[in-house]
Amino acid sequence: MLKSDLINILVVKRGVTQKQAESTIETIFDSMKDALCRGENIEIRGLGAFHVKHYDGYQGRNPKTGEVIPVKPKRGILFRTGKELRDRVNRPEALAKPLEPDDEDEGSEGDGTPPVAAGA
Amino acid sequence: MTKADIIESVYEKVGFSKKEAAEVVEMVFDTIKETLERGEKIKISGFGNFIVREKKSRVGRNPQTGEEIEISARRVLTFRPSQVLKNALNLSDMPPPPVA
Repeated sequence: MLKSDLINILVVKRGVTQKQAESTIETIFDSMKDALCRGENIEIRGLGAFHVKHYDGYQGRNPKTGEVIPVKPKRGILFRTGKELRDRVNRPEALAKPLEPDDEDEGSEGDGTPPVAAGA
Repeated sequence: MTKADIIESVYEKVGFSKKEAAEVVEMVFDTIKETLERGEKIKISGFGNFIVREKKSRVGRNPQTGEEIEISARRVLTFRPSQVLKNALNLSDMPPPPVA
């Protein structure tokens, strides 16, 4: 499901205009993004919580050349699923139905599939 | 930030009444939960992807007693922030980490 599907659902189920629906979805995720960028955590009851984690910088190494490179301090996001959703995702009835295949794994390595040239 | 803050933003930006903003935001999160419950992933460009993953059963241990127990196969939800969000979090003007 994409952002556009959420927008359509609001239009069809709530009868809001396309523009209102687009603005609503954008506002929801923008405000969450802004909060995380301010270093604020987010808690959505029933869904889960997003935490901003600070990582210290460290001396890393280029694994190919062995060259020492400083890795700057950075921030990342940790998501912890809320209890309600954790249970709903893992319902026995849900487990009976197979998952859709994991098509996109953008940029992930080591899945054993060699990259295929586009348009080949 | 909680859902109330998100509702407030939607109220200010979209021009709904308070009540309508609350209902619309509620509907968005309910839809997301129902979709994930079906095992379907949610992809929000510029924010991230929520993906349901299948975990095989494995042997774990009760940390208190050291007793071996089987952890059953299960489905879990993972969130992968988008590159856009990761970059936004690490702009040079980011606030310093909280002093512990």
